[in-house]
Amino acid sequence: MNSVPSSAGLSAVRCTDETPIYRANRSCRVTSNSTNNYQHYSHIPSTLENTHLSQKQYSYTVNQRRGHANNPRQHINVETTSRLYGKSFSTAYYDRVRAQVYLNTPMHSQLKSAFLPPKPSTPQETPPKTSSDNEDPPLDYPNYTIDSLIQRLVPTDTYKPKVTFINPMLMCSRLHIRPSILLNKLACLSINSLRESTHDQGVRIMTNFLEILSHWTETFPYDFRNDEMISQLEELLRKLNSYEPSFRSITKRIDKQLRSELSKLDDYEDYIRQLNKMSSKSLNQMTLNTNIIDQCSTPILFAEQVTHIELSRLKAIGAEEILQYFITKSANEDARAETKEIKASGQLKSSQVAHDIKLTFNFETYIQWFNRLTFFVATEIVKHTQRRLRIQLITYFIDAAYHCLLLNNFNSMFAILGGLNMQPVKRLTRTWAKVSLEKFTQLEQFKNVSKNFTYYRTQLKRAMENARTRQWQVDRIVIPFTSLVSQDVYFIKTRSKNYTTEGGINLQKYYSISKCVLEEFIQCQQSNCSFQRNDQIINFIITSPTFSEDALMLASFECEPATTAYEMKTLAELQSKNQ
Amino acid sequence: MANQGPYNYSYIFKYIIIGDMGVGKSCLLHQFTEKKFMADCPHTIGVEFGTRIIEVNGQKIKLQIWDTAGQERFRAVTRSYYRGAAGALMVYDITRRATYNHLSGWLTDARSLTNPNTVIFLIGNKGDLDGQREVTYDEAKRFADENDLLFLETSAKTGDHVEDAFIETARKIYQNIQDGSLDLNAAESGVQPKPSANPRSANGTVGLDGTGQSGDSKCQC
Repeated sequence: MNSVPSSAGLSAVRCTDETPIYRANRSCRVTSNSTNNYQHYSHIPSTLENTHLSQKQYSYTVNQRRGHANNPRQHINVETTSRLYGKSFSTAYYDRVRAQVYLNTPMHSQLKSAFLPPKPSTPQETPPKTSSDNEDPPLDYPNYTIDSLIQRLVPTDTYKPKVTFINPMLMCSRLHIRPSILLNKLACLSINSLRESTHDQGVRIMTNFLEILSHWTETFPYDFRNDEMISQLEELLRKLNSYEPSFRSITKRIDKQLRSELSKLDDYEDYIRQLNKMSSKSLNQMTLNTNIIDQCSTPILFAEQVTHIELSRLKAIGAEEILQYFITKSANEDARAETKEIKASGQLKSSQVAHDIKLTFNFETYIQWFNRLTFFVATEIVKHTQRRLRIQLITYFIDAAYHCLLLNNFNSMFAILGGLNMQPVKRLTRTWAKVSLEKFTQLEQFKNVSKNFTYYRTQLKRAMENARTRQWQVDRIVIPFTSLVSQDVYFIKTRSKNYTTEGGINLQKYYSISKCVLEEFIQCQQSNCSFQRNDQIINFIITSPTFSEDALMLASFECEPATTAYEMKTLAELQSKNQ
Repeated sequence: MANQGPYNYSYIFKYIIIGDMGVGKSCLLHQFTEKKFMADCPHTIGVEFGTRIIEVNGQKIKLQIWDTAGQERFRAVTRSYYRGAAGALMVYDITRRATYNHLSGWLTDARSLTNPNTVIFLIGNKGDLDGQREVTYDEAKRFADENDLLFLETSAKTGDHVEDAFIETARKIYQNIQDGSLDLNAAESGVQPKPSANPRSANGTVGLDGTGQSGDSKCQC
């Protein structure tokens, strides 16, 4: 038996980052004369924002325990096992699956019928799969049910779904069904078909099935952080090994690669946690005397180091995470609304969609980095009361942003521009008067929102095409402006309908989200750079304290006094608030 | 009434929509601009999002509305949209108290980041869910009066008062132009005068050819 060819498509390399760059004793040397006026109200936004990491993870363990109680995955596994041994269907099993799926799907009358026990083929819903029918299912078919779509995912000895269909399904079916149930159904249906096959056919079916599984574990490895998922997978791989011993090398590879991805994820999260701890420690060791130019002599070096940070944060993000982020957000809101309704009506309404719990926060960590860079830039400027230094620093950051643009690191470029445009920096008119604005004006065009960010999107497109044609060679970097990717995904998620007018699943939406995320974002994880990483500079950038918004404003008023009536009022308010 | 003769308008007013995630910002815009979204490919280059031409006192005005939905947590980014807005629609959800409680933060941003003449309109959305209301009309009205804001409760779902909110904001901006309190020459006033007088606006932010309004047409991406 040949080994499963590694799946094409976008199985991005993630977390190729060397061991965490964190060095315990390196960051933020403290000077003794660090007394300052802002210390009391300075805070590190990232620390506050990042408490989500520990808090949420805590709540997950709680939820998971609860999950164990009501919804024991053991049942499913037992049944999966019995199916693998070729025992007959247990109706009890399907009752349970149906109950779970029921929870997963809005109570749509047309959809209910979809949750009857799956038959090996449902020709009226999906065209029969033959070797000549390996194309993606038509996007405009109005009557897809989740089960008919899952059917398209089930391989036969001659049919294997294309990656162009697998990706949207694995990423977006979570809008309608939990990934753990999808895996369960997919496995049951594939294994079910063995009963009517010869052993040779069976081996071919299972080879195709393993290929799909392997694509899943490579492209969406974080799905398997979920207990239910990983134990189902283990069980499956074990059964496949006993069905056909020659599968052993493939199953071993799948298992090994997945575990390596998951342990990389653990390491990365540890690293981020340590960073946050470090940042909160340095909170009391505020240094007004440090200066980025002393740490990192040139704006080019600065741009290169932030690019290193970007890449390590970007590569850690799972392809499903942005969508999952918005699903979780709206699920939380629905849950709140539902609780309220129950309180009001005293009745339980079970139309709520159940989702797998979100177990990764790499997208949030990335947002947090973006915000940190913004605050870092602003802090570095306003903490200096000498105008000469501020002029030097503004020029430095404009040059750094410009160099980020040359590197196609659009995200850092936008973050730095964001810092320069924050009110406490922007209002320093006497400082800005001495700054050469030529590059700045050029960069500001990227912020032009007109015609859907045409200016930026055109440049991004050019950079992407360039990188693609050169197969993402080293230094063909593209780091898109994440905020806009986030908005794009949110748009499709909220504006594109989940169901067609006929009540079927809107498959076009799956494809649109998947395309947007993979092609506009995840693909960029292939970026690699050749320039050296400097851990000392990186540590300074990611752990040195930044001011809160109030502290920035107060510092700004010390740089250049309040002039307008509105500024005077703001200053008075801030002073009374922080006394 | 809206979109006849995209070339014939006297001003462009820029708006932003702000407020917590999930209060219905993009639904309001969707409702108002009559589905002029590329729901399936928002990353299409060159499409003019969220624009509509309205009429105030016999003048045609093109509204260019920027929605921050989906970017709420990128703080510096959402803030950069404030500058250059003539109108800010600040939205909360009448069924979620927290979104109302956060208004003071949004208002501080809007006041400090926009010019003093920016018209801020407070919108209590999801008016159709009166049964689940957590914020009374009177309370919000008081808040609006204290802070000198225009106020309406809307429903992006049924469309109730959505038009009014957008148009009242424009009316107020227009009034500010008429009585001279809004200086059109000031940078970042959020208002651009007649295209015929000034075919390419000074800062080049708005293309005036009216293309890209392809409505609900299927996109090719």
